[in-house]
Amino acid sequence: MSHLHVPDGLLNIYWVMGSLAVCLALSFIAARSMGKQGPKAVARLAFAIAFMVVVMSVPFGFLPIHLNLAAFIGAMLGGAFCYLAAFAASIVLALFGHGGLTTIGLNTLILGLEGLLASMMFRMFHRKLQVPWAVALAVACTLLVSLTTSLAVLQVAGNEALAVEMLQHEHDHHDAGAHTGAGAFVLGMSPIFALGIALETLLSYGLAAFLSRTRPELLHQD
Amino acid sequence: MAHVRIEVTTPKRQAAVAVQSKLLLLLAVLSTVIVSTNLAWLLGVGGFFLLLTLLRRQPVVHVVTLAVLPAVTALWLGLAGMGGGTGPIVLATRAAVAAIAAYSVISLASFIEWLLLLQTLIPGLLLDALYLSMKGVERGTQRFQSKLSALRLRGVDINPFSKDGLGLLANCLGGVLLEAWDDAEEAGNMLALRGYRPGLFSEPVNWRFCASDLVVWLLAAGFLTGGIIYGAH
Repeated sequence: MSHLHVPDGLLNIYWVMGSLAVCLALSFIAARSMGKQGPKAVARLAFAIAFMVVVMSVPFGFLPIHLNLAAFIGAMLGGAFCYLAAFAASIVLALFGHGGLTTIGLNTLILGLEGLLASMMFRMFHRKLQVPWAVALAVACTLLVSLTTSLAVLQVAGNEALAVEMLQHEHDHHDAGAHTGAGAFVLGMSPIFALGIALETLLSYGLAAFLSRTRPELLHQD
Repeated sequence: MAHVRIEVTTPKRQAAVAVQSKLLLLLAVLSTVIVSTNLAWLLGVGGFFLLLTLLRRQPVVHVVTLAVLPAVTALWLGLAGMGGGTGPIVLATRAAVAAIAAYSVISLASFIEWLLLLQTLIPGLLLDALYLSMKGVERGTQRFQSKLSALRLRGVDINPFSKDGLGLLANCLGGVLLEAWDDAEEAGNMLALRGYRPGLFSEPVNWRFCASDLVVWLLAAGFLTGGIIYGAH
């Protein structure tokens, strides 16, 4: 749920191109490491992409959020899978008209970080806790970190965009506001962010509990 | 005895616009929209693409709905940072027009055509996974919706904000996940059996252009020129 819904037209060209370049470079590294795992890895990657896109259709009524369970996928399959799946899901959503063409790179980097952290944290927590609790804790911690990262990006990139916009509109008397724009946005959105994190954590817990009952080997349970 | 007349018809060759030209148009329009601060120009560009949507008999309401979320986010961000004035309105209009234009241009080519264009940029393995995932998305969505419908038909209320509702939702998603996983394992076995190598779905991109491409290039140039002349105040 932590991907940026920054609309096209807000980020400047340096952010767009820079993030895309890093994202592409990392995707080749991740693909090379996955290529060694054989053809099953491709099929599993396709599964991860499809699942992430399907989960976005989960209805949450009036709430303007949708989940992608990137952290859960990271815990289940690992960071490299999650990174490539996040990249592909961002491309699919952009091509389906969901928007965010210019944020593909940034979204992939943030979701990839989410998957990697979730994978590491799940392994760490799994030593002490049962699988559903380990998954839920890993997802909650990861979402907090990745949401903070995406808001920090929004703070820097969004303020830059607003500052430029204000210069163009010659609203000099509002210049103090340019430095608090994203901050005020975050403050207004914080209840929704908190609800989103809670929903994704609880859903991940439910999914992990379901898998533990039906196919425990999918979550590395011995 | 009646004679059976068999007519062999060859499909008429259509002058199809190359996907590269569509990409050029998309980049030109997005660049124009991103740098523009002139509300009238932005509304003109948005109007043009809405008209295109109408002429192509695409669902206009759906396109407008897609533009609402980016517009609201941009308006919120603009109001928080800039206070009043026309700045936030310009930001919101820009976001909405970018969404409408991107949807209109992207829908001019199929998903496969865009993927083929991407193959030079992304790893072959990722391209293959994207191809394989297309069926998975369709099947997964159908399975999830049918599970939700089955529950609703039994009179079960799926409220994601209640403990039971969220549990049911997790179980539905778990069922979809298991079915998708089994499909993926089967596909993986088939790929292994046939000697899979990354880049299976790669195809050479067609770099031949026709007269229709020229029209699209002129349109792209028109948007860029218009953006330079009218885009700024």
